[in-house]
Amino acid sequence: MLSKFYTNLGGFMTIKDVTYTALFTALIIVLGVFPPISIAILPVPLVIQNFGVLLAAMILGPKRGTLSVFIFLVLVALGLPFLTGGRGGFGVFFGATSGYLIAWLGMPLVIGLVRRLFGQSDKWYATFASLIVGGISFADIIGSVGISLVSSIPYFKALSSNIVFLPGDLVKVVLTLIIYQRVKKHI
Amino acid sequence: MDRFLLGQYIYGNSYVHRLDPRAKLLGTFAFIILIFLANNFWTYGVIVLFTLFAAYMTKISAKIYWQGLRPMLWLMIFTVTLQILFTSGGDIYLKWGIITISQYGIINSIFILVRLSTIIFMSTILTITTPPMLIADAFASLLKPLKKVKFPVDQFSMICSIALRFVPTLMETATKIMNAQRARGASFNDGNIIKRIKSIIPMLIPLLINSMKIAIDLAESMTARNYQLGEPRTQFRRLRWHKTDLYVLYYFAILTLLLIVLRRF
Repeated sequence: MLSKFYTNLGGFMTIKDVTYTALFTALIIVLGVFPPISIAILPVPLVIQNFGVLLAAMILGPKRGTLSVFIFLVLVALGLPFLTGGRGGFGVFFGATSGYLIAWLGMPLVIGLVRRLFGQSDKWYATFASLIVGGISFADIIGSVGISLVSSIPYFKALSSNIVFLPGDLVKVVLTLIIYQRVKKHI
Repeated sequence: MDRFLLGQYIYGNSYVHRLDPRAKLLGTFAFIILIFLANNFWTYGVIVLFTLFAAYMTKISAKIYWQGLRPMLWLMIFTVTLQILFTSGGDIYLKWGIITISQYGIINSIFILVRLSTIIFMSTILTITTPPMLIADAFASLLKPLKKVKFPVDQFSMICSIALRFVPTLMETATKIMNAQRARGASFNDGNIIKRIKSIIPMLIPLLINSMKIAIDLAESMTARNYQLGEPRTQFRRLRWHKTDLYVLYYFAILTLLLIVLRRF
């Protein structure tokens, strides 16, 4: 089973897949350098790096997007300071926010799945729904598991604390939608 | 910006700098696994001593390690605070609604603090004594056994190398784009809310399109130079193992023995 999966993964990859995946990994890294944008009405600042993950999911699709995020997380795990704020190393995977990093890995798959349900439509409501489900709900659900496990907090208490991130996440979804609509003609 | 382009690598001529990066990578991985053997003050004390000795061997000033620790401070404070406020057991010092400050919570928070700190220290030792490309090379080398289960190690290695190679290029491109947009009136960190949110779009779209153009051009260049996925290839950058690299394995073997013995107390 694993062997078959890996064979398909390697066998179906073209050189263009390799370069696209690599460049998007580099893009996620670069976006991590930009400082979060603080906005008075939002309780937490907008982290630009999240756009990289969302855009990788939208543009690369589920397979290459997941691979792109996976390699990014591997580089972070190896100690390179590629998360926003210069964080990196295995330590980030043991902190309370480790669940969100794992959720990043699954986001391209979930977004791809929802888009398939809409028949791969590029209509705004289809991409909006996929970003809401894959980009926000999935991340919060998995991220809360991380908080719950690391800190011994009841799960639903951790989940409800994610409300503070909702306004910023919605802004990110709308902006990602706008960017994707403009970029898709170049794909 | 320049500091970021170089990652965290700091030139030096210490024993740790000269180690094979695979030895350092294996040591870091081993440490992360070993740290879960720690369960009392004796075992955590041993881990701290081993970490400090390794840091001393790099001959790099403590200020650098503090800089490595600082970005993680919020995460550590957040995790430890959650532990203190919501864990109960042992003597109860304060009880107020859902918040509980207890002996068990405080002890556990100290352990978590030590665990996170030492993991960060060991990661910092790896990244300040090893260039990023060598870290990626070492990781790809250690992945070779996965070829037995047909994991595409070569593609994985190539993607890592390309990604690391183009981080400075994209960084430079992003800086140029931001300056160009500023010249046209965009504001990224001031102005009203709508203006700042909208400024993200003219920054990200050119960066995205530029990335995709690089990807296409690079794929064509690699194809023209007869790069073929899955075919055997030689390597220009080679890693060589020396006898002195074994000391790292001995170091962690001793740590393992000490932890196994001391955790019974």
